[in-house]
Amino acid sequence: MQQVDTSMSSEITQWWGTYEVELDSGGQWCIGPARLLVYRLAHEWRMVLEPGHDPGASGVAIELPAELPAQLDHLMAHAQVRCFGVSDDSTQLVLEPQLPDQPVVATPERKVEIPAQGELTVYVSSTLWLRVSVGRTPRKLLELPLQPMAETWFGRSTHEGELCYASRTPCRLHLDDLAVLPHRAITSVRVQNQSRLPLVISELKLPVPYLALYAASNGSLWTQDVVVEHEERELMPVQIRQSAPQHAEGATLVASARRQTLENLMMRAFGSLFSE
Amino acid sequence: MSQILAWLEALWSMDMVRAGLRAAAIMACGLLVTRMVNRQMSSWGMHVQHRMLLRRVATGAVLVLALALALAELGLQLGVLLGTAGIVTVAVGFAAQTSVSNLISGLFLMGEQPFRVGETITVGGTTGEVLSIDLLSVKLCTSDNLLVRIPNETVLKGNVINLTRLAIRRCDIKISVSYHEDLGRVRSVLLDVAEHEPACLKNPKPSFSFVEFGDARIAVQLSVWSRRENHGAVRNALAEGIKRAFETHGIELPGGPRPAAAAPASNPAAAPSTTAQQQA
Repeated sequence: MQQVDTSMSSEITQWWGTYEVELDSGGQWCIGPARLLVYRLAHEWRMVLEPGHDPGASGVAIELPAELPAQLDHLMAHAQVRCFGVSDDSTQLVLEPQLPDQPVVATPERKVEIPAQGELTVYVSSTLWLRVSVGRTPRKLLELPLQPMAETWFGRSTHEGELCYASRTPCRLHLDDLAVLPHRAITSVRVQNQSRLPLVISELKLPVPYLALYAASNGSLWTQDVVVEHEERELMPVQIRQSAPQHAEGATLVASARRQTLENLMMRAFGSLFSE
Repeated sequence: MSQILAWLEALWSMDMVRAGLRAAAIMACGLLVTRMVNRQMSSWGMHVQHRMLLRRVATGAVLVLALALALAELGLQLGVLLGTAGIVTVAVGFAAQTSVSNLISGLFLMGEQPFRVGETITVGGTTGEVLSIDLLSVKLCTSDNLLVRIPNETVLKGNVINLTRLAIRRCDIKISVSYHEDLGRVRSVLLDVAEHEPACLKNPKPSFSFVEFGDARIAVQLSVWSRRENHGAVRNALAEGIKRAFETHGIELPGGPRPAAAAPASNPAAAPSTTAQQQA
């Protein structure tokens, strides 16, 4: 029986990977605030993902196998249990972290002004999604956020723009101000103001679907580094560093980008472009 | 057998039969050409409505041409036919003004595309999903499953409200509160309700606005933005949330029962008479 509880540890236990859930048994994964319950029946998988509301929850607890029958019956009366019918008897379960499927908009704690020809690095934290797959050839069954994600509109007007997720935590200027959590990934964004005017950042849009996810040796999760060049026009070039994130020591690739990275990714990245 | 062959030989010698066969062959070729053209159009990356219209025009043109050639083979003078057709066209034109207007309006609608098949629109008070944009009319299916046919001319002349073209939509909830309520407190309560509604967008931010001083109440408005497909659900959720929050905070809705919660009265001068009425 595998039981891991790292709620008091400074390092993050790797919760993603391949597990074996025997027939008529189950498992429980607590990833930060979220809880995943999985129960394996004959030709059926039953799953419940309860996204949590405590943004600061930092522990990882895995209970495999778990005493599920009584809990699952109780849960089925009150929660959104998903039932998946399968034709094979494979007991293999794969858990993978994924980045959100929409861009993430983060706001700094207070407006930040970058002088002309200056640059600044900010750090953005994004809620992760959990992808659950089963079978010898993994087939995706479930993909949900580990925390409820609020949506926001990012654009020049209410009819020109796109729907994004609003980051729960503000973007920070110092990496130490960002908590390292098992259900969130950190992105380093370097903003280069190549215009003649100061740039005031009131909100920042991160092209998360184009980013890959890496895990550092201490278990923290990072995306590729991003560089945004502000050039006094609405759409600005965004570079995604193809190498591993510089702050993630011993980084290994965990998940590829949802969308193919474009060579010349141009986008509107800031909510406020200029200041006098 | 020899009799049948002799009969066929006699038949073939008749010019009329040969002409008829040639005419039939021309018509068959015409049908084949239309089929080939239609198949070719299916691979074009065109909008479904445009492809349908082009298919009908192409099919009509090819068949008319084939018919003209077939009639020429049969010895009919096309000049006479065209002259007759001209007179008939003028007569039909006067009688079919409305249809022609609808037809031309339909072409303009397809070109301008103020709405597409599958979108929900409001035309002249009728709201429904667009089922088809045809040559003469637009077909809508209302939310209670009624089929409405609206002539294209009516659509082109009037205002069309497209409810599903844009990604987000604003939901306005008008609320009336008593004069003795503190508007600042009402504002805080309403914005808090919006803040806790998961389907409300963070940006554009929910807003509170004053509407008017009514006869016995003050009208205010809470506006929130959501995905357009969540508009109805957000409206219902906000209504429930507002009523619950008003009851919790002791904010009175004019016309409704007095709130049971013993919240501090906004206007201390009004409190004694309220209490006196309850005790009575």
